[in-house]
Amino acid sequence: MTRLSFLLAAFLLLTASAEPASFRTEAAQEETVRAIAVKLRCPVCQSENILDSQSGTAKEMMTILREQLAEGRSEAEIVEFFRSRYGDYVMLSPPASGYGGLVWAAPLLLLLAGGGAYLLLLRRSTRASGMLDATASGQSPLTEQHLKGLEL
Amino acid sequence: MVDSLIKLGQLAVCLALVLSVYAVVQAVLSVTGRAPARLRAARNVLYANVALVSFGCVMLIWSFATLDFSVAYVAQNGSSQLPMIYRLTAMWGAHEGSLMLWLWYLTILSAVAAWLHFRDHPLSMPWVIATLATVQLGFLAFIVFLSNPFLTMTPPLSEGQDLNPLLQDPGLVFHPPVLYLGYVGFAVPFAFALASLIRTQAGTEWVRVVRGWTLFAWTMLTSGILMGGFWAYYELGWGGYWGWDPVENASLMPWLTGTALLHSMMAQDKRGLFRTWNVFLVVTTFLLTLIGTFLVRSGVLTSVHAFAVDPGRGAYMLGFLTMVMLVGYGLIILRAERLSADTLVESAWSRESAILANNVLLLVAAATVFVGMLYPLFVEAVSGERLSVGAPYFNKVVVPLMLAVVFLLGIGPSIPWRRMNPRRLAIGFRVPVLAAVLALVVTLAFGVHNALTAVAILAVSFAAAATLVDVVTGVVARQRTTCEPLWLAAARAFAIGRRRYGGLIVHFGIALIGAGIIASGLFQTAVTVSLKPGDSFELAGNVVTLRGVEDANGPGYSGRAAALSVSKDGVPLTEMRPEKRFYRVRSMATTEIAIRSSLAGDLYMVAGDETAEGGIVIRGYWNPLVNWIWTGWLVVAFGALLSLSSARRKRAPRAVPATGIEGVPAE
Repeated sequence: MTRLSFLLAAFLLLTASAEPASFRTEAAQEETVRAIAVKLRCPVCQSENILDSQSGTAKEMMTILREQLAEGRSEAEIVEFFRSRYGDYVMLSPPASGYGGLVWAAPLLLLLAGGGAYLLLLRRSTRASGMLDATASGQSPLTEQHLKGLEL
Repeated sequence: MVDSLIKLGQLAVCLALVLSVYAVVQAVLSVTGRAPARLRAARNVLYANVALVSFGCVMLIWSFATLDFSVAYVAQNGSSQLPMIYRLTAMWGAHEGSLMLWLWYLTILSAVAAWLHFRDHPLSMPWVIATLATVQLGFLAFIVFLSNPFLTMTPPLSEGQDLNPLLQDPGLVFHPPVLYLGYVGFAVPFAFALASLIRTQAGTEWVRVVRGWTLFAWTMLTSGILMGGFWAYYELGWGGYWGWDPVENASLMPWLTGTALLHSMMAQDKRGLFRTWNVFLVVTTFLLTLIGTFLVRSGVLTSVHAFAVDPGRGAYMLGFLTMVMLVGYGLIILRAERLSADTLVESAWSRESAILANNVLLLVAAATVFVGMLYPLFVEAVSGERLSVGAPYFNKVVVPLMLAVVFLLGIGPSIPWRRMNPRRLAIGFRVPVLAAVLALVVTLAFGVHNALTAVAILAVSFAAAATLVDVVTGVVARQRTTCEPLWLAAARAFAIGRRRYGGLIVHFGIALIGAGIIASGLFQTAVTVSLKPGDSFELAGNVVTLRGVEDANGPGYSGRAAALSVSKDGVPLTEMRPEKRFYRVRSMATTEIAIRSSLAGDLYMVAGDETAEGGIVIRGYWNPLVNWIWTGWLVVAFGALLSLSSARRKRAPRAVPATGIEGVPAE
């Protein structure tokens, strides 16, 4: 979750970066550094980002990141720089194109499948029980109503 | 002498291997032969294996305690500079020993299960024992042939390579043993599920037996995961506790399916629903615990190439997993026809339907984590390309799913079984909705600019308020009728409705944890400053001043500590001493974090590199409400124990003569 905060900070700072650069304080600069650093994987570690990693490579990458930010490069440019050097592997959030696209689609597909199964089972089940009710009492207003609600 | 002791330990484990084969054979034969003696023999093997494996483990621990470096495993993970407490716990500090710990638990829990249920479930018992003994066999064979911690070397080394410094921490004493207890706890439900499948008896009986075991395993798993988070929080020094590391993900997956299982078992218990689904969940959860155990320490998750380092181990693990999967899922498919429920979900507005929704969300979350964890391996194997699926990805896809679960957690317990009037449900939630809106308004004042955060705050405060309303309504209703004092009414209501109130308390604890996660994750402040002695910086209203940098040496390491004094509004608050340590034997640097906790949040200081002018770089964090996570754990544990205390069955009178086990209609 901590990393989520970095993401959010990145988002906030992206929207804030429209302001003139002179308004940027050192702290805000450091926030940007962190926000980008948590998205980059230390290439020589198990699964650490370059901000948390204590390895030499990660520290070097942090220095490069700071330099490039100071030169006024954008986040996208900096990420692209590291990507051209280390490949997609360096991005902790996989790219949305190519092989990475599939992994982004996976949760959506899973949710659709799960939600579909839920609705299907409920519908089959409530309809069957509605028929039971209908034979028992001659009507099933409650179930009908819910079926309508479901189909919305 | 010492050498012969470790050999005795190995012998004991080898003997347990042979005996487990014997137990499987006897247990299976006892079914066809209707031979109670065979079944008792198989059961006695489970008892004997506790003694044998315990002996093996004690010998291994003894080798660490006495620093017997002729044992290769001790030489790799111990050293003469290691403090005694870590010598005693170094056994589970690496791959071979942690499998021993797994096996040790398995033998103990198998024996306890046999002892508890032998009389009451004689018809399932052959299959339960056969399953448990087979799993034991699987682990024993792996330990003896492929991952043997008892191997010795001649000539012995004069000094060991020391335990990984990151593991030299009280966390090692608690986290792995508790987490593994959670993992292994699911073996017993798995055994009962297989037994019920084989006997085509997936009624409500096995669910009742297994409920206590599942709740126990779930509680341990939850505790183990949170302890791990706490450990990471104060040991690793990045200000967080969860990094979506493959190791963490591996423990989260069985937690998600186990949580789904706990809930859907309720539907089978009360309404006879979801029979096939429940066995599926049990088998899946057990498989995931195996995956967690095998893959984490094998290094496979970092790269497929790690697999090639020791192909024997990798192939065995895959084979074992495949076998469990084939048997488990195969039996479900074979028996699915006969397991169909005789009752139905009657309405979308019912507890059954809410549980179903909860299951779908938790399973989708588990599957997402699974895909995210294994996808890089898949891509590397298929195309040779390497990509990463890390924290930013999981935060984006799993957090929304979990928020939906938290929202359901507030509603679920108030929905009655079978069907209800949705309008009445909405009226019942006036207070929680109001509380949620209020919480959102308050936090908006702190500056929330993000839709997901707003939804998170709404969901968690709604769930917490709804749970509280549920508890208070119940207690007040009792107090009105009995006219007892409020505390007594509460205590008695809790004692009578242990399962219901236990569950509600667990839910409340989860909401607390959720609040802690949101606040510490989204409102964390972090600064990195380079200080000279006398310099200070401000963090969340506190003024932190560097007084100096000092030596701080300890057993096995040399360290440097930054002496910081913290004051607030001019009043001195506390001293903090974050350290950097260098462990000589492994020539590895670690950081020791300094934390000052309060209910509002933690001040968290990490020492960085020293500067030329005698100063030091300090990274400081303010983590608001992070304590709520650990407090939430206490609440969850209390609720789970309360609920668990009702699981004790009333023991049937011993009408069965000890010599025979046939014709007992206990099932």
